[in-house]
Amino acid sequence: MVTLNTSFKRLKKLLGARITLEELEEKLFQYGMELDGVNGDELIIDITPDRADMVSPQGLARALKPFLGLDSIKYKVKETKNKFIIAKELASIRPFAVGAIVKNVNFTDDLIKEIIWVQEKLHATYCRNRRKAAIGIYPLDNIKFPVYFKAKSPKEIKFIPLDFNEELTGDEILKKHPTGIKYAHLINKFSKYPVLEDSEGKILSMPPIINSEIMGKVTKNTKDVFIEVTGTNLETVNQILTLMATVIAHETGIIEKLITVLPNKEIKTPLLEGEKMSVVFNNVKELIGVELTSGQIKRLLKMMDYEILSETENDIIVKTPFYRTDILHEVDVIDDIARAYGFENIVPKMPSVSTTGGLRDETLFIEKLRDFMIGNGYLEEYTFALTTEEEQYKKMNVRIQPPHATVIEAKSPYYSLRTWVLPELLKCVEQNLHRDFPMKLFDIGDVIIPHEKYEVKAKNELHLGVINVSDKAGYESIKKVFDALVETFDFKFELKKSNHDSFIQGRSADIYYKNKRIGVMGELHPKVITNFGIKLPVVAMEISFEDLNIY
Amino acid sequence: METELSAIERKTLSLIKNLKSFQSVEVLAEKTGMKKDSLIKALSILEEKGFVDKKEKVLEEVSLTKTGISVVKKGFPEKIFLNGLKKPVGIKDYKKKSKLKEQEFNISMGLLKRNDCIKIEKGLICKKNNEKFLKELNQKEELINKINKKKPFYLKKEDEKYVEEFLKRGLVVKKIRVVRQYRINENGKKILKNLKEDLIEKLTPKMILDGTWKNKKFRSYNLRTKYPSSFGKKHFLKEMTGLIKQIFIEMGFKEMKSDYVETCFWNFDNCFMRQDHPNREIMDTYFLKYPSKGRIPEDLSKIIKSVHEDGWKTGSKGWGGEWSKKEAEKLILRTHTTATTFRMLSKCFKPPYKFFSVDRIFRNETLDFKHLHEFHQVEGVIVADKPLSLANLIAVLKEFYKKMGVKKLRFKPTYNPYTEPSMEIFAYLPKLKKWVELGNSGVFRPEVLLPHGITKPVIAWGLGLERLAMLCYGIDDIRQVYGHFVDVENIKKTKPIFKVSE
Repeated sequence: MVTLNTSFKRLKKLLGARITLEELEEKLFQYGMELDGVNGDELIIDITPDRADMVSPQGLARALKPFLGLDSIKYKVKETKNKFIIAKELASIRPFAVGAIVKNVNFTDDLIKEIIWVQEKLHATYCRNRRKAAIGIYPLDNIKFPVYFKAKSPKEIKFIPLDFNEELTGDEILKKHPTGIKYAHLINKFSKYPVLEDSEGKILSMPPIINSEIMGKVTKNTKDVFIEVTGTNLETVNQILTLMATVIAHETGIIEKLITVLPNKEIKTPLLEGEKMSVVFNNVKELIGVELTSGQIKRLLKMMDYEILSETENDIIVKTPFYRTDILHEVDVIDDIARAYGFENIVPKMPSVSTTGGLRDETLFIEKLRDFMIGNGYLEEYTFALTTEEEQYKKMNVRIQPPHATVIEAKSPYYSLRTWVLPELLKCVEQNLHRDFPMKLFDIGDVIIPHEKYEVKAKNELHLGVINVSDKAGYESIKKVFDALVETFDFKFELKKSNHDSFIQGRSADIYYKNKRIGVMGELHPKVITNFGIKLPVVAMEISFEDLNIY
Repeated sequence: METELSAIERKTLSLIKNLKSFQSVEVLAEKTGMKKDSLIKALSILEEKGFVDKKEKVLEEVSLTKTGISVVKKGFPEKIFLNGLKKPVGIKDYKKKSKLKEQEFNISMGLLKRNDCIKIEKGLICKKNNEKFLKELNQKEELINKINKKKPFYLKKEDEKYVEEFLKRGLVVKKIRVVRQYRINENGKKILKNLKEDLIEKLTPKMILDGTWKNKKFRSYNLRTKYPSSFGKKHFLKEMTGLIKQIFIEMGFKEMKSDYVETCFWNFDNCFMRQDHPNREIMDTYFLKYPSKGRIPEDLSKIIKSVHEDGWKTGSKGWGGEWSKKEAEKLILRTHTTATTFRMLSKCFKPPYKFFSVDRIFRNETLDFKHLHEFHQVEGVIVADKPLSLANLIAVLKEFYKKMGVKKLRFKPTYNPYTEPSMEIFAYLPKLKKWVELGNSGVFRPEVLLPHGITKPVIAWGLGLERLAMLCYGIDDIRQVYGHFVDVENIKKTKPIFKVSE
């Protein structure tokens, strides 16, 4: 979820409509947003991550106006001959940049604050922390076109970065300026850094790091601005430029398209044209499950700001709203029709799809096994698959760790996937030392065993883990359970003396099936018991059912 | 009435019947020769039954410190000082000769001088006889030995003066103790008189065999006593899983399963999640260090590549850019069971079919009261031999949630990379008197269906099991839902449920 912070007053002004908070909440819900918080006049609105165009009060108002039956926003657009020229040498550094001019903007402190908020929000989300795209805004007055986007060696780059009062080189900015330090990783691996210069060689900024204090600071006195977006994906930089230019131009501004000269083509930016799409009536009916007339469909499409271009008996040709970045397929348009129609208004229709249901054989086996363990007086535990090597092996006194899957990075201390369940059950006891004993626990669950032969190089294996913690626990207590298990399920198991380090030798047995070791049981070694802070004898059993072919 | 007394209770009562005043448990134990533990137990039951009276007394327990213990062993330093002083002796010489440490020596000398037991004349220490001081010293010795022997030693009025001094000298410490004292009361005496001694305690096989139980009475037990118990029971989250599985089966769904370890290909790429999607970052998803690279199906991967790059023949624009096979081969812990669903869709079963799973998924989260790093997703999918619509999905969801016990639902449009339209499911829970988000659903996009040869819309939905369990069982810390942090008492105590949401 992406959140939009604005005020009810601001939103009402941008909408130019009287609306109560309840109505707004209802309409947002129907559109697919959620009023997440209200604090006095302040609103927090959850928007879905596909709608980059709504990450601004202006964008939200733009989408909501036709939805509420109000007129769509129309922008004043002109074209200029000004050029923004992108150098070829950036291909391996930051290949794309596009620019726009917006004039006649009434910058107030509030608007500047709002624009900075939008810019930072876009940076943090759709721009992937400035990696994929980064936005720069400059007062137009000081700039002499054409503006160049080029690569220069860090030593050659010298300017006063925002909020500083001394000139720094490119390298110094990455080391001294807080923003430089934060985003240094985006460019410091290159021998040349991207830089924006006007035709007089004055540096505007060093994208995607920081603007110049002199050339790149918008104030209340600014009326006209130059906007650029640099990045690694042409489509994204174009989309972000369109969003940013329209946010700034929303109230009074005039957008001036300039000529962005890319190494292989020239485009007039920002792009303000939607795309043509065909919507087949029958597809609408099939996907939503509601019979709609073409008139209804057209009305609903207009609510979502689509332009109707033409219509035949079977389909309708529309132009998508230019600011939408999320429409990839006809189904996206049909989804918009459904939203405008209102999901609440759709009459449910139970499909007649006749099938028979059932559980997997493994699940049925697990249920029998669980019944057996509960019948023997054992309490079911449910433990994690992710754990630590420390607990799986070290605390279990296991000297040679078997192959086991690990993750690269984890926010919790669990980096390792379990290969057996017993340590996890002992952790349960460790967390419950203050509770009543005896404690008899079991868990039936999957462990993960790596192996080359599988497509995902590992496999889930079903294990049963059993422990009995009691002052009276001895080999007999677990052997009894084992015997009953073998008898109940008619397992053909054999026992051999075990050398397992977690257990006491001579009081533990390896469990074999068809000459393969599939489990172990017996009295846990006192070292293991004390490693988990337990003060009573523990007997335990673990069996893998992988090779039994019972399910 | 007498039969309500157990053997040990009877024994206790008769042993204390002649003691007049309130006595502490220690004293009683000493006098009756009973074990303290069983005595305490018996007395508290007798008190509850109204046969003995209890009085709680706040006492000060005095016990020796390390220094105190050494005084008991060696004697008071001032006494050692005095005893060694046979004739006048120089201070320096005596300091060397005496067994006292320098500090003890100096303190003792000061003390004795103040109390007029010695005097210093021309640099020589001379003994003076002070009977009163010597007498007091003997009393002090007696007292400190008493403190040492008698544990616990409770402060009495007459000892206060010396104990005060001991405290100052760091020989003892004082602790406040609440001491329970007991005394037999009239009821107790009465019941003792009426006691018949030949009640049967335990029915033995021998008694049954030889009939000695005849003409005897059985002592009745306290029927309300609670005993620590260990018993077998299903984990409540598994119980909830079972109920949900039952609903799916009733609705004609077959269970599906796949491994926890998954390739990005099945987990993300098949779900039309663009390769730079934020969820695909290491901060959100567990990428595997070992094993790190899986195998992906050659033919399908070519199709998926094309779907991502230009939409293939799905009618979609695709995401643009270049799709990387290397990225798709990376191994992760699956972030949703939708990976399982796509594995099923790829198997080209003949429609119609319905599949479900309630299984484990993983997200790189910090474990806290709101987040688990592994949890469970409930998922259902319907593939029919005809197109399935949003209206169909709503009907199926209403049926499914009705079976769970939820009667009122609302649907909010939302975004999923692999479904369009997509709906969040809001359920009204009468118990909490509020709407809560309880699931996500949608109609699969052509971009995710056509690669598997499916041409007609497919509907699917999912919800989080832990969230449901928290709402249903009233748990507010997610770590108490499952995993080793769960309190075993909660597993024992959680009531069985018959409908998921009730």
